[in-house]
Amino acid sequence: MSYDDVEIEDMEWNEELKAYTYPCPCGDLFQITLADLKMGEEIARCPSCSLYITVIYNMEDFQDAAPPAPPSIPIAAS
Amino acid sequence: MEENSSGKIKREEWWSWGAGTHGQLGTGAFHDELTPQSLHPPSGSRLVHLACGGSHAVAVFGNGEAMTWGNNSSGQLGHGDLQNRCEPRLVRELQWLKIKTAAAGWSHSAFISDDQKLFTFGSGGYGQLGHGDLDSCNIPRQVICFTSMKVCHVACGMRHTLALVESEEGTEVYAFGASRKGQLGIELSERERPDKGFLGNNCNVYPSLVGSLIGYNIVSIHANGDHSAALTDYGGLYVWGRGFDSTNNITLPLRVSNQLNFSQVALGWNHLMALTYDGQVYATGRSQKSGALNGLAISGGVCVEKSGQRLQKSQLSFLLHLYEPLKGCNVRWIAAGAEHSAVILGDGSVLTWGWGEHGQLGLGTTTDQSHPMVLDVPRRKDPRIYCGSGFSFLCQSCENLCEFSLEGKIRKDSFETNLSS
Ligand SMILES: [Zn+2]
Repeated sequence: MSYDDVEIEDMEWNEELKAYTYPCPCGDLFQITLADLKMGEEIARCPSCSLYITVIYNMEDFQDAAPPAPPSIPIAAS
Repeated sequence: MEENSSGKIKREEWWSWGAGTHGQLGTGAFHDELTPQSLHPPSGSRLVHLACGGSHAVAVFGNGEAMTWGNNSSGQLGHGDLQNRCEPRLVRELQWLKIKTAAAGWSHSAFISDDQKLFTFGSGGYGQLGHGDLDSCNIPRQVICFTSMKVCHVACGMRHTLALVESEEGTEVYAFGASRKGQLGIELSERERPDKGFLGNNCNVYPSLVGSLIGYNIVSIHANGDHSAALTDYGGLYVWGRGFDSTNNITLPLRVSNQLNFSQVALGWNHLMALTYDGQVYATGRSQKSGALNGLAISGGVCVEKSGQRLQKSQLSFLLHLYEPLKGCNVRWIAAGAEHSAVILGDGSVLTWGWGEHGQLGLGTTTDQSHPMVLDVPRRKDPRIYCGSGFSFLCQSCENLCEFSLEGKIRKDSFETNLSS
């Protein structure tokens, strides 16, 4: 059974993993790639455990989508 | 007991178990542990507070030291780098301060100094650091907004933060970070929602006052997942954020019926537990997954009210129920991970249940448990348990428990051998 339904708006693009991610209760991240989304895949899996989530999104929105701008990189503040 | 700065006399024992691949167990290894592992306490000073996040942990000691360990992918350890650490390590940037308390979110951390200033670091992508931007940061940074205020308590959820501030009129709750699930308890106007630039996210990058809690004498605040909660000085419980029925979010603080007063609250990602002054656990939650409250028995539901005003039945967002498996037990401490729960009883025994895939129940298996199970650890004085998303810490005195019966008599059999260890 899917652990949760998560809207794509709640997922974060991870530049390193090249995937949209969402926190998994095990401490790792559920992941789904842009290519997956273009193919209509709805399941984002966690590499560390048996859980998976159902991603809620419009497939059409991703047909021509380029990878999003990377989120902010951790910086040292002065 | 006397403090010993050399740390040579072991006065506390620490145990950790569960998910450990990011070093969050502090054992010096990067793997899961299915049973409680004994750790040498990292400081000679007594533990004041420990907080476990998504896959990192933070600790505060009696001498004002702050330590962090585990996942550092967003800089949430505050060491100025992004390297995961499998052993507790002093946060050097905070060394010039005496730290009083701390909190850990999914991937961010917060510390409060003895002069009541707030410092945050780690992931800031939703504004959860309160610095007015969406930047992450790998060393502690003071939240300027609170410079002229006295912050006394802080709580970190998945992507949001709550801060409790003391003022002349009483206390005030401030909230910042992600707001899509109502977890800030504030109805934001459009101009307060900066565009994150991709896919759009509702974030509040500056701390905002939770106006509906003004005048309620809030004494503690709680956050986990997309949930938030607060307790008043007389034990009144307010809850807001993602609904526990998974559909209706609670965008403004809701009061759980005045029938019950609570001393402690523990939030998971899909469940809530609250402890009454007489040691009874009330709970609510989704049990869709093997999840935390599979054994939740439905009886004696308690109505939820919105700031004193009674709601129509159709508006009730959730019901709290007496958690039957612990009915009549003298529960003294409650804690919740994302999908597991732990309690400590008056006799010092530790019980866990819920999701067990990473060993987070400490029972030696990866099996889920729908009922509380007793953990195989020594029963000691002053036990405290803290749960992260998929892991747990137990910190307690090395002294054996001396139990007092209800009549106040000391039970001799619990003294066992030595009181001097
Ligand atoms: Zn996982």
